[in-house]
Amino acid sequence: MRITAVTAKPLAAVSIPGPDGMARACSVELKTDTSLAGLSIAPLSALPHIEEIGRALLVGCEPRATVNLWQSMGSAIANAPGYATSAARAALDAAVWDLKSKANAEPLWKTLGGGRPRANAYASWTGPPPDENALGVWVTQLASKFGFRSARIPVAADTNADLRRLGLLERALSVSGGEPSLLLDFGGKWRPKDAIRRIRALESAFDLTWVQCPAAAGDFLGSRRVVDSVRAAVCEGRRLHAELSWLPYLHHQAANVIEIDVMLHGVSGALEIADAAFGFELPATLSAVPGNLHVQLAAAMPNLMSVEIVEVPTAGGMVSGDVRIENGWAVVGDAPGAGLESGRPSWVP
Amino acid sequence: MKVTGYRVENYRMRLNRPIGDCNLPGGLDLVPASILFLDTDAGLTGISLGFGGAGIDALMPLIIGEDPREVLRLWMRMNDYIHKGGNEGTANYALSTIDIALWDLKAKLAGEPLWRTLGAGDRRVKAYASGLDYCLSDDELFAFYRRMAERGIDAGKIKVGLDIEADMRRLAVMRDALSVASERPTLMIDANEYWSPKQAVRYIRRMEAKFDIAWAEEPARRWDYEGLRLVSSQVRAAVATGENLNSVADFYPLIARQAVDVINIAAGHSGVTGCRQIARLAQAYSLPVSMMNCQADFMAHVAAAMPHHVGMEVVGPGREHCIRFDSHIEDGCIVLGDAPGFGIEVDEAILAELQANPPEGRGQFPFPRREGAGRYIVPPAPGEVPWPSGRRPQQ
Repeated sequence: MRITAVTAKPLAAVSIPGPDGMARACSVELKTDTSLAGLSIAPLSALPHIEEIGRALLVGCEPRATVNLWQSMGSAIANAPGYATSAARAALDAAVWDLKSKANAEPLWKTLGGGRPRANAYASWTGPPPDENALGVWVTQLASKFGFRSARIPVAADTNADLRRLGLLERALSVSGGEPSLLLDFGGKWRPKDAIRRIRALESAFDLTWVQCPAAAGDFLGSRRVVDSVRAAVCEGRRLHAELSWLPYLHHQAANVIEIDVMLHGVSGALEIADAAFGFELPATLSAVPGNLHVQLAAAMPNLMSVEIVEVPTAGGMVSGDVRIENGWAVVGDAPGAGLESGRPSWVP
Repeated sequence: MKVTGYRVENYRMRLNRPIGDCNLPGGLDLVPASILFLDTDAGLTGISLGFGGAGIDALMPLIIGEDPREVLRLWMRMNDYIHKGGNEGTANYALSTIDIALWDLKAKLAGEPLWRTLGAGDRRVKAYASGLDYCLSDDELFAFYRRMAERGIDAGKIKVGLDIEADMRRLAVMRDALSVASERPTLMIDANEYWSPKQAVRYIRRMEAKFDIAWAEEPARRWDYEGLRLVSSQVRAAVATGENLNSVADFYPLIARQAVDVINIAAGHSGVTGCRQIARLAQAYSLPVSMMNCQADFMAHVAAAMPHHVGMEVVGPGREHCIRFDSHIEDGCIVLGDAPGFGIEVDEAILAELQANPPEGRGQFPFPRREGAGRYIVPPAPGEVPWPSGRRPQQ
């Protein structure tokens, strides 16, 4: 099989998480000399790089050679590092894996060697900090109808607001039974000592599972200070798009949970990071990406802790991609490839 | 597709020539072997080659009735099952062997060679020659490396550890034999954990006064991350190690403490799945990996899909009696074919003959540990090796 063309088109009605809030998206298509096509979704800012890298490095190539294509794209962007080039490489890699699994007429999770993914899901509030009424409606619905036991919210401007929101979250998530798991996102905008004071204050009232990005992206020394100073785990990785930028967090025990974003690292890079983290006995969590492609990878990771879900499921529990939520677990179906053509077409509700 | 049954065939074979290291310098030529066949309802059979051992029976209930394409799930299942005793010894052997047969099936089901399934773009894997040669005379040593050099192989790894003068002489023999492939052949040494770290430093530094050594393999105990790091910091050569470890969990302290410069990976590292985990951790640390030798060089399929693989050990002692395989060595590389899976077929008639009439020979496999290891050096006794020896023990 050969890749014959690479195209990328803006997606009008779709927005996805970007480096500075929500961003526009584009679709990627790899055509081949067979009837199969590989698909993925990327941030719109990656579009010119997708076309450039795809035409230079993928057209004419055998798509099943995932390792080589991933490496050659990595060499190509080494001199132009950045969010957009990383996302372009990742989107092309994801489309290559979509093709590889379609060539086997099997879902991506099976091509990766996993069993059917049944991953611990947590609900994630994206966008601006919620007002308490909206937050209550959101989390109550997710917990009572879909069994979510875990949710993530952004940190508030003041401690009292955090205490009220976490209390609301804890009560709502308790309806699904068992201990709720509370996740708090600091967004990489805090100084470590400020984050430590806030977390310690909250921990006097709540048992937090993790705090996310409590120091600036790349500040593994600051992250390590938080690790040493709070009870909660520190989750890092979300904005670390550069090659190997996550390694200092492993080497210096500066994170307790490694978050892996398939939209920045592709399928190939995500599996590499997960195995390296496994060597360090660190759990991995997967960021939500368009079409819930990330859930496909869950069962191929021996150290998977959880997957992020940002969509509110339909009545039947369906979210986009070939994924549905069953009693707090994200479960993938049998559609061939990455499942982007399946289920709900939209990304954000 | 489901695994429906299995069969283990154990046999003994006699090599074309003896092999030996500093723990068994006199060598052996009789080795046990074993083949696992995994049957499926799709008519395909998965094949895994090994060196004998029990434990398969204990793990197979986890595999029967399961889809071999879900090999990572099955690997986790086996790994969880053996949690209490650990991924070691017999359990590790069985897990590794079964994982390899599952990957063979996964590739066969996709109708492609395993190197393709694993995502490699190139069927060639660079090779280096390794004589396992402490039991060879200087002439035999030269002949082995020259034969390899004539196939384009420009790197060699010699067994050392018991006699510095003999080792220096033999290193020069290897270099001369390889010189037809390269003006500057890559030279490596392997001490198989015989030395203490400081003995290793003294020994290697003396060799480095005359030779440029690319790597020194197992210069200290496999788990001694402080000792290995000490050696690495005091010699020019890279420290290669890992062949006797079991899994990425064992490599973690070595890699995190920067005690190793080249990662030796092997089929016994929890199979294809375990090798990939180790390689990915090594890659994050920009550490090269090198695949250990095996029957029919079958693990070259796995090495082909590792972008930071520097060369696979090729021994060629003649151990493919009942095995047909789809690879050859050319221009210094193992060249893999297009036969599905590992491309291994078993000649059942020859296997049955080996089992019915087991060959005789010299055997003490696997190699034991030699007296004095880590404390003082016991050189070969007169007549123990076919080269001049009999020096007095060294501290």
